[in-house]
Amino acid sequence: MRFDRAEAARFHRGHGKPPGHAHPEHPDPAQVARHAEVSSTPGGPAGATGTADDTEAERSATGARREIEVRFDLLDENRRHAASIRERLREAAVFAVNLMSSPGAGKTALLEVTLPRLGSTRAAVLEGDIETSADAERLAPFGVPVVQINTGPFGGDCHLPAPLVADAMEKLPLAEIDLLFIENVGNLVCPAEFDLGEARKVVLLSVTEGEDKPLKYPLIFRESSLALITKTDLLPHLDFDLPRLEENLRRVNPELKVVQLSTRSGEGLEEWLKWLADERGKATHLTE
Amino acid sequence: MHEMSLAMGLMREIERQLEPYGPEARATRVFLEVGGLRAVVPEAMQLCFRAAAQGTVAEGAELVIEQIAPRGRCVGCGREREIDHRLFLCPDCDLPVRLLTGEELLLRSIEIEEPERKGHK
Repeated sequence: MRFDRAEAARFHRGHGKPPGHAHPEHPDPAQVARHAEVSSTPGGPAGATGTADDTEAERSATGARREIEVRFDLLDENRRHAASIRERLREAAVFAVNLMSSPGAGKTALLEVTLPRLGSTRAAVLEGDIETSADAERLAPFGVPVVQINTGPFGGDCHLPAPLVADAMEKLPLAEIDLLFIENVGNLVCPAEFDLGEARKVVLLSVTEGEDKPLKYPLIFRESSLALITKTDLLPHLDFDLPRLEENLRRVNPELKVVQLSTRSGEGLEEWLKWLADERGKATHLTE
Repeated sequence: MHEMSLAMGLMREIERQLEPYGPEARATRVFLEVGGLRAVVPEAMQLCFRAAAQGTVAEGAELVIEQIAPRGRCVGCGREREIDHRLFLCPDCDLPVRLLTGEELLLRSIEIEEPERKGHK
Protein backbone atom coordinates (compact mmCIF):
# COMPACT_ATOMS: atom_id res chain seq x y z
CA MET A 1 0.00 0.00 0.00
CA ARG A 2 1.47 3.28 -1.10
CA PHE A 3 0.02 6.62 -0.31
CA ASP A 4 1.53 10.05 -0.52
CA ARG A 5 0.48 13.64 -0.50
CA ALA A 6 0.89 14.00 -4.27
CA GLU A 7 -1.59 11.21 -4.75
CA ALA A 8 -3.94 12.73 -2.22
CA ALA A 9 -3.76 16.04 -4.07
CA ARG A 10 -4.43 14.38 -7.42
CA PHE A 11 -7.26 12.51 -5.77
CA HIS A 12 -8.91 15.59 -4.40
CA ARG A 13 -8.46 17.62 -7.54
CA GLY A 14 -11.31 17.30 -9.92
CA HIS A 15 -13.66 16.76 -7.05
CA GLY A 16 -15.44 19.99 -7.84
CA LYS A 17 -14.22 21.90 -4.86
CA PRO A 18 -15.17 25.57 -5.18
CA PRO A 19 -12.27 27.84 -6.16
CA GLY A 20 -10.60 29.63 -3.30
CA HIS A 21 -11.15 26.81 -0.85
CA ALA A 22 -8.52 27.34 1.83
CA HIS A 23 -6.80 24.32 3.26
CA PRO A 24 -6.64 24.27 7.04
CA GLU A 25 -2.86 24.01 7.15
CA HIS A 26 -2.52 27.46 5.60
CA PRO A 27 -4.90 29.69 7.53
CA ASP A 28 -5.05 33.30 6.53
CA PRO A 29 -3.65 35.13 9.60
CA ALA A 30 -5.92 38.11 9.04
CA GLN A 31 -8.93 35.89 8.94
CA VAL A 32 -7.86 34.10 12.11
CA ALA A 33 -7.45 37.38 13.93
CA ARG A 34 -10.86 38.59 12.75
CA HIS A 35 -12.44 35.43 14.09
CA ALA A 36 -10.77 35.95 17.43
CA GLU A 37 -12.41 39.40 17.65
CA VAL A 38 -15.92 38.20 16.92
CA SER A 39 -15.60 35.12 19.11
CA SER A 40 -18.39 35.07 21.62
CA THR A 41 -18.08 31.53 22.94
CA PRO A 42 -18.00 31.86 26.71
CA GLY A 43 -14.98 30.23 28.25
CA GLY A 44 -13.71 29.07 24.90
CA PRO A 45 -10.14 27.83 24.66
CA ALA A 46 -9.17 30.67 22.32
CA GLY A 47 -10.16 33.17 24.95
CA ALA A 48 -8.12 31.28 27.48
CA THR A 49 -4.96 31.03 25.42
CA GLY A 50 -5.41 34.31 23.63
CA THR A 51 -3.14 33.34 20.73
CA ALA A 52 -4.43 34.12 17.28
CA ASP A 53 -2.11 31.63 15.61
CA ASP A 54 -3.44 28.63 17.53
CA THR A 55 -5.67 27.32 14.75
CA GLU A 56 -6.96 24.29 16.66
CA ALA A 57 -8.15 26.35 19.59
CA GLU A 58 -9.31 29.10 17.27
CA ARG A 59 -11.50 26.75 15.29
CA SER A 60 -13.22 25.23 18.29
CA ALA A 61 -13.67 28.60 19.89
CA THR A 62 -15.30 30.39 16.98
CA GLY A 63 -17.19 27.58 15.39
CA ALA A 64 -20.68 26.33 15.94
CA ARG A 65 -20.69 22.57 15.99
CA ARG A 66 -23.50 20.35 14.87
CA GLU A 67 -23.94 16.84 13.63
CA ILE A 68 -25.32 16.20 10.17
CA GLU A 69 -26.97 12.89 9.31
CA VAL A 70 -25.45 11.32 6.18
CA ARG A 71 -26.11 7.56 5.98
CA PHE A 72 -23.74 7.01 3.06
CA ASP A 73 -22.74 3.45 2.26
CA LEU A 74 -18.98 3.39 1.58
CA LEU A 75 -19.38 0.70 -1.04
CA ASP A 76 -22.00 2.69 -2.98
CA GLU A 77 -19.55 4.21 -5.43
CA ASN A 78 -18.10 0.81 -6.29
CA ARG A 79 -21.64 -0.56 -6.52
CA ARG A 80 -22.64 2.11 -9.04
CA HIS A 81 -19.70 1.20 -11.28
CA ALA A 82 -20.53 -2.50 -10.86
CA ALA A 83 -24.13 -1.84 -11.90
CA SER A 84 -23.01 -0.16 -15.11
CA ILE A 85 -20.60 -3.04 -15.86
CA ARG A 86 -23.45 -5.50 -15.28
CA GLU A 87 -25.61 -3.56 -17.74
CA ARG A 88 -22.88 -3.52 -20.41
CA LEU A 89 -22.30 -7.26 -19.98
CA ARG A 90 -26.02 -7.94 -20.21
CA GLU A 91 -26.33 -5.91 -23.42
CA ALA A 92 -23.37 -7.77 -24.94
CA ALA A 93 -24.69 -11.13 -23.64
CA VAL A 94 -21.42 -11.83 -21.82
CA PHE A 95 -21.45 -14.12 -18.77
CA ALA A 96 -18.80 -12.93 -16.30
CA VAL A 97 -17.21 -15.01 -13.55
CA ASN A 98 -15.12 -13.43 -10.80
CA LEU A 99 -12.41 -15.89 -9.67
CA MET A 100 -11.15 -15.25 -6.14
CA SER A 101 -8.65 -17.06 -3.90
CA SER A 102 -5.45 -16.70 -1.88
CA PRO A 103 -2.30 -16.21 -3.96
CA GLY A 104 -1.24 -19.55 -5.38
CA ALA A 105 -4.51 -21.48 -4.97
CA GLY A 106 -4.61 -22.13 -8.71
CA LYS A 107 -6.71 -19.47 -10.44
CA THR A 108 -4.39 -19.17 -13.43
CA ALA A 109 -3.86 -22.96 -13.54
CA LEU A 110 -7.64 -23.38 -13.64
CA LEU A 111 -7.84 -21.01 -16.61
CA GLU A 112 -5.03 -22.89 -18.35
CA VAL A 113 -7.07 -26.10 -18.29
CA THR A 114 -10.42 -24.40 -18.86
CA LEU A 115 -9.68 -22.17 -21.88
CA PRO A 116 -8.86 -25.06 -24.29
CA ARG A 117 -12.02 -26.94 -23.24
CA LEU A 118 -14.71 -24.35 -23.94
CA GLY A 119 -15.62 -25.53 -27.41
CA SER A 120 -17.50 -22.87 -29.35
CA THR A 121 -17.81 -20.60 -26.30
CA ARG A 122 -15.68 -17.52 -26.90
CA ALA A 123 -13.82 -16.49 -23.74
CA ALA A 124 -11.73 -13.55 -22.58
CA VAL A 125 -9.77 -12.88 -19.39
CA LEU A 126 -9.21 -9.84 -17.21
CA GLU A 127 -6.09 -10.60 -15.24
CA GLY A 128 -5.74 -8.75 -11.92
CA ASP A 129 -2.42 -8.49 -10.09
CA ILE A 130 -0.67 -5.87 -8.02
CA GLU A 131 2.40 -6.05 -10.27
CA THR A 132 3.73 -7.90 -13.35
CA SER A 133 2.00 -9.26 -16.42
CA ALA A 134 3.30 -12.79 -15.72
CA ASP A 135 -0.18 -14.33 -15.57
CA ALA A 136 -1.33 -12.64 -18.78
CA GLU A 137 1.78 -14.06 -20.47
CA ARG A 138 0.91 -17.54 -19.19
CA LEU A 139 -2.48 -17.25 -20.88
CA ALA A 140 -1.20 -15.74 -24.13
CA PRO A 141 -0.77 -19.14 -25.90
CA PHE A 142 -4.52 -19.82 -25.68
CA GLY A 143 -5.35 -17.16 -28.24
CA VAL A 144 -8.11 -15.48 -26.23
CA PRO A 145 -8.18 -11.76 -25.46
CA VAL A 146 -6.36 -11.13 -22.16
CA VAL A 147 -6.15 -7.73 -20.53
CA GLN A 148 -3.78 -7.31 -17.59
CA ILE A 149 -4.88 -4.99 -14.78
CA ASN A 150 -2.15 -3.92 -12.36
CA THR A 151 -3.36 -2.24 -9.22
CA GLY A 152 0.19 -1.15 -8.30
CA PRO A 153 -0.11 2.32 -9.85
CA PHE A 154 -3.42 2.80 -7.96
CA GLY A 155 -1.99 2.45 -4.45
CA GLY A 156 -1.27 -1.28 -4.71
CA ASP A 157 -4.86 -2.30 -4.07
CA CYS A 158 -5.17 -5.88 -2.86
CA HIS A 159 -8.36 -6.42 -4.85
CA LEU A 160 -9.90 -5.32 -8.13
CA PRO A 161 -12.28 -2.39 -7.71
CA ALA A 162 -15.12 -1.96 -10.20
CA PRO A 163 -13.79 1.27 -11.83
CA LEU A 164 -10.55 -0.48 -12.89
CA VAL A 165 -12.53 -3.38 -14.32
CA ALA A 166 -14.77 -0.97 -16.23
CA ASP A 167 -11.70 0.70 -17.78
CA ALA A 168 -10.11 -2.65 -18.68
CA MET A 169 -13.33 -3.83 -20.30
CA GLU A 170 -12.98 -1.02 -22.83
CA LYS A 171 -10.04 -2.95 -24.27
CA LEU A 172 -12.10 -6.09 -24.87
CA PRO A 173 -14.19 -6.81 -27.97
CA LEU A 174 -17.31 -7.52 -25.90
CA ALA A 175 -19.45 -8.20 -28.97
CA GLU A 176 -17.20 -11.15 -29.84
CA ILE A 177 -17.17 -12.69 -26.34
CA ASP A 178 -19.55 -15.08 -24.56
CA LEU A 179 -17.69 -15.71 -21.34
CA LEU A 180 -15.47 -13.37 -19.33
CA PHE A 181 -13.20 -14.59 -16.54
CA ILE A 182 -12.09 -11.92 -14.10
CA GLU A 183 -9.08 -13.25 -12.21
CA ASN A 184 -9.00 -11.19 -9.05
CA VAL A 185 -5.90 -10.23 -7.08
CA GLY A 186 -4.83 -13.17 -4.88
CA ASN A 187 -6.35 -12.44 -1.46
CA LEU A 188 -9.06 -14.11 0.64
CA VAL A 189 -10.20 -10.90 2.31
CA CYS A 190 -10.66 -7.78 0.24
CA PRO A 191 -11.92 -9.07 -3.14
CA ALA A 192 -15.06 -10.30 -1.36
CA GLU A 193 -16.02 -6.72 -0.51
CA PHE A 194 -16.09 -5.37 -4.06
CA ASP A 195 -18.85 -6.17 -6.52
CA LEU A 196 -17.42 -6.14 -10.06
CA GLY A 197 -20.68 -6.53 -11.93
CA GLU A 198 -19.99 -10.23 -12.48
CA ALA A 199 -22.77 -12.83 -12.85
CA ARG A 200 -21.15 -15.30 -10.44
CA LYS A 201 -18.38 -15.27 -7.86
CA VAL A 202 -16.25 -18.40 -7.55
CA VAL A 203 -13.83 -18.98 -4.68
CA LEU A 204 -10.90 -21.40 -4.95
CA LEU A 205 -9.36 -22.96 -1.86
CA SER A 206 -6.42 -25.32 -2.20
CA VAL A 207 -6.07 -28.28 0.16
CA THR A 208 -2.72 -26.96 1.41
CA GLU A 209 -4.43 -23.93 2.95
CA GLY A 210 -6.29 -25.62 5.81
CA GLU A 211 -9.87 -26.58 6.71
CA ASP A 212 -10.42 -23.56 8.94
CA LYS A 213 -10.28 -20.92 6.20
CA PRO A 214 -14.06 -20.60 5.72
CA LEU A 215 -14.43 -19.75 9.41
CA LYS A 216 -11.54 -17.29 9.32
CA TYR A 217 -12.59 -15.56 6.10
CA PRO A 218 -16.36 -16.08 6.00
CA LEU A 219 -17.28 -13.19 3.71
CA ILE A 220 -15.61 -14.54 0.56
CA PHE A 221 -17.34 -17.90 1.04
CA ARG A 222 -20.67 -16.23 1.73
CA GLU A 223 -20.47 -14.09 -1.40
CA SER A 224 -19.59 -16.99 -3.72
CA SER A 225 -21.92 -19.36 -5.57
CA LEU A 226 -19.30 -22.04 -6.05
CA ALA A 227 -16.24 -23.17 -4.09
CA LEU A 228 -13.58 -25.13 -5.93
CA ILE A 229 -11.39 -27.21 -3.63
CA THR A 230 -8.19 -27.30 -5.65
CA LYS A 231 -5.02 -29.41 -5.75
CA THR A 232 -6.90 -32.51 -4.53
CA ASP A 233 -4.15 -34.66 -6.13
CA LEU A 234 -2.03 -33.63 -3.11
CA LEU A 235 -4.47 -35.10 -0.57
CA PRO A 236 -2.55 -38.39 -0.07
CA HIS A 237 0.42 -36.36 1.14
CA LEU A 238 -1.47 -34.17 3.59
CA ASP A 239 -3.37 -34.47 6.89
CA PHE A 240 -6.19 -32.52 5.34
CA ASP A 241 -9.65 -33.17 6.79
CA LEU A 242 -11.91 -32.80 3.74
CA PRO A 243 -15.21 -33.58 5.56
CA ARG A 244 -14.37 -30.92 8.13
CA LEU A 245 -13.72 -28.36 5.39
CA GLU A 246 -17.06 -29.21 3.79
CA GLU A 247 -18.81 -28.84 7.15
CA ASN A 248 -17.11 -25.46 7.70
CA LEU A 249 -18.19 -24.31 4.23
CA ARG A 250 -21.77 -25.36 4.99
CA ARG A 251 -21.68 -23.51 8.31
CA VAL A 252 -20.78 -20.17 6.72
CA ASN A 253 -22.83 -20.64 3.54
CA PRO A 254 -25.35 -23.49 3.51
CA GLU A 255 -26.19 -22.75 -0.14
CA LEU A 256 -22.63 -22.86 -1.50
CA LYS A 257 -21.95 -25.51 -4.16
CA VAL A 258 -18.65 -27.32 -3.64
CA VAL A 259 -16.57 -29.09 -6.33
CA GLN A 260 -13.28 -30.90 -5.71
CA LEU A 261 -10.81 -30.26 -8.47
CA SER A 262 -7.32 -31.12 -9.59
CA THR A 263 -5.90 -29.56 -12.75
CA ARG A 264 -3.24 -32.33 -12.69
CA SER A 265 -5.43 -35.41 -12.41
CA GLY A 266 -8.42 -33.80 -14.12
CA GLU A 267 -10.70 -34.59 -11.17
CA GLY A 268 -13.74 -32.32 -11.09
CA LEU A 269 -12.94 -30.66 -14.39
CA GLU A 270 -16.08 -31.94 -16.13
CA GLU A 271 -18.20 -30.89 -13.17
CA TRP A 272 -16.68 -27.38 -13.23
CA LEU A 273 -17.23 -27.02 -16.99
CA LYS A 274 -20.82 -28.26 -16.61
CA TRP A 275 -21.43 -25.76 -13.81
CA LEU A 276 -20.11 -22.97 -16.05
CA ALA A 277 -22.33 -23.99 -18.96
CA ASP A 278 -25.42 -24.47 -16.76
CA GLU A 279 -25.04 -21.16 -14.95
CA ARG A 280 -24.39 -19.33 -18.19
CA GLY A 281 -27.51 -20.94 -19.62
CA LYS A 282 -29.57 -19.77 -16.62
CA ALA A 283 -28.26 -16.23 -16.90
CA THR A 284 -28.85 -16.03 -20.66
CA HIS A 285 -32.30 -17.51 -20.24
CA LEU A 286 -33.15 -14.83 -17.67
CA THR A 287 -32.23 -11.96 -19.95
CA GLU A 288 -34.10 -13.22 -22.97
CA MET B 1 -5.88 -4.29 3.08
CA HIS B 2 -8.54 -2.17 1.47
CA GLU B 3 -8.97 0.33 4.29
CA MET B 4 -7.15 2.99 2.24
CA SER B 5 -9.60 2.73 -0.67
CA LEU B 6 -12.44 2.94 1.84
CA ALA B 7 -10.87 5.93 3.60
CA MET B 8 -10.43 7.76 0.29
CA GLY B 9 -14.04 7.09 -0.66
CA LEU B 10 -15.07 8.28 2.79
CA MET B 11 -13.11 11.51 2.31
CA ARG B 12 -14.75 12.18 -1.07
CA GLU B 13 -18.16 11.91 0.55
CA ILE B 14 -17.21 14.10 3.54
CA GLU B 15 -15.98 16.83 1.18
CA ARG B 16 -19.18 16.53 -0.85
CA GLN B 17 -21.31 16.75 2.30
CA LEU B 18 -19.48 19.81 3.58
CA GLU B 19 -19.57 21.78 0.33
CA PRO B 20 -22.91 23.51 1.01
CA TYR B 21 -21.55 24.81 4.33
CA GLY B 22 -18.93 26.99 2.68
CA PRO B 23 -15.16 26.82 2.36
CA GLU B 24 -14.47 27.34 6.07
CA ALA B 25 -16.60 24.51 7.41
CA ARG B 26 -14.62 21.63 8.89
CA ALA B 27 -15.45 18.08 9.89
CA THR B 28 -14.53 17.57 13.55
CA ARG B 29 -15.91 14.07 14.13
CA VAL B 30 -16.89 11.34 11.70
CA PHE B 31 -19.18 8.50 12.77
CA LEU B 32 -18.79 5.21 10.97
CA GLU B 33 -20.81 2.00 11.39
CA VAL B 34 -18.86 -1.16 10.59
CA GLY B 35 -20.51 -4.59 10.61
CA GLY B 36 -18.67 -7.47 12.26
CA LEU B 37 -18.60 -9.40 8.99
CA ARG B 38 -16.82 -6.63 7.11
CA ALA B 39 -13.12 -7.24 6.81
CA VAL B 40 -12.27 -3.84 8.23
CA VAL B 41 -9.64 -3.57 10.95
CA PRO B 42 -10.45 -0.53 13.13
CA GLU B 43 -6.78 0.32 13.79
CA ALA B 44 -5.97 0.19 10.06
CA MET B 45 -9.05 2.27 9.29
CA GLN B 46 -7.96 4.92 11.83
CA LEU B 47 -4.49 5.07 10.29
CA CYS B 48 -5.81 5.34 6.74
CA PHE B 49 -8.41 7.90 7.78
CA ARG B 50 -5.70 10.16 9.22
CA ALA B 51 -3.59 9.80 6.06
CA ALA B 52 -6.48 10.39 3.67
CA ALA B 53 -7.75 13.36 5.70
CA GLN B 54 -4.54 15.35 5.20
CA GLY B 55 -5.25 18.52 3.31
CA THR B 56 -9.02 17.97 3.36
CA VAL B 57 -11.85 19.48 5.38
CA ALA B 58 -11.52 16.50 7.74
CA GLU B 59 -7.88 16.98 8.62
CA GLY B 60 -7.49 16.38 12.35
CA ALA B 61 -11.03 15.07 12.70
CA GLU B 62 -11.78 12.20 15.05
CA LEU B 63 -13.03 8.98 13.50
CA VAL B 64 -15.56 7.20 15.71
CA ILE B 65 -16.10 3.58 14.67
CA GLU B 66 -19.16 1.75 15.94
CA GLN B 67 -18.89 -2.00 15.41
CA ILE B 68 -22.17 -3.78 14.71
CA ALA B 69 -22.51 -7.40 15.83
CA PRO B 70 -23.80 -9.82 13.20
CA ARG B 71 -27.38 -10.98 13.85
CA GLY B 72 -29.55 -13.29 11.80
CA ARG B 73 -32.94 -14.99 11.64
CA CYS B 74 -33.48 -18.68 10.86
CA VAL B 75 -35.53 -19.25 7.71
CA GLY B 76 -37.24 -22.18 9.49
CA CYS B 77 -38.10 -21.31 13.10
CA GLY B 78 -37.70 -17.56 12.65
CA ARG B 79 -35.64 -17.25 15.80
CA GLU B 80 -33.34 -14.25 15.85
CA ARG B 81 -29.90 -14.56 17.39
CA GLU B 82 -26.40 -13.21 17.32
CA ILE B 83 -24.19 -15.06 14.85
CA ASP B 84 -21.23 -16.25 16.84
CA HIS B 85 -18.46 -18.56 15.73
CA ARG B 86 -19.41 -17.90 12.10
CA LEU B 87 -22.40 -20.18 12.37
CA PHE B 88 -24.85 -19.31 9.63
CA LEU B 89 -26.83 -22.48 10.33
CA CYS B 90 -29.63 -22.54 12.90
CA PRO B 91 -28.49 -24.83 15.75
CA ASP B 92 -32.11 -25.98 16.23
CA CYS B 93 -33.28 -26.50 12.63
CA ASP B 94 -29.99 -26.89 10.70
CA LEU B 95 -31.42 -24.41 8.20
CA PRO B 96 -29.77 -21.24 6.81
CA VAL B 97 -29.80 -18.09 8.91
CA ARG B 98 -30.59 -14.92 6.96
CA LEU B 99 -28.44 -12.00 7.94
CA LEU B 100 -30.09 -8.97 9.57
CA THR B 101 -27.03 -6.96 10.63
CA GLY B 102 -23.28 -7.27 10.36
CA GLU B 103 -22.58 -6.12 6.82
CA GLU B 104 -22.76 -2.37 7.46
CA LEU B 105 -20.13 -0.03 6.09
CA LEU B 106 -21.88 3.24 6.64
CA LEU B 107 -20.86 6.84 7.10
CA ARG B 108 -23.66 7.60 9.55
CA SER B 109 -23.06 11.25 10.39
CA ILE B 110 -20.51 14.03 10.49
CA GLU B 111 -19.99 16.59 13.20
CA ILE B 112 -19.22 19.81 11.44
CA GLU B 113 -17.97 23.12 12.67
CA GLU B 114 -18.85 26.34 10.94
CA PRO B 115 -17.10 29.56 11.84
CA GLU B 116 -19.47 32.24 13.10
CA ARG B 117 -20.20 34.75 10.42
CA LYS B 118 -19.40 38.43 10.86
CA GLY B 119 -22.31 40.35 12.34
CA HIS B 120 -24.08 37.16 13.25
CA LYS B 121 -24.31 36.59 16.98
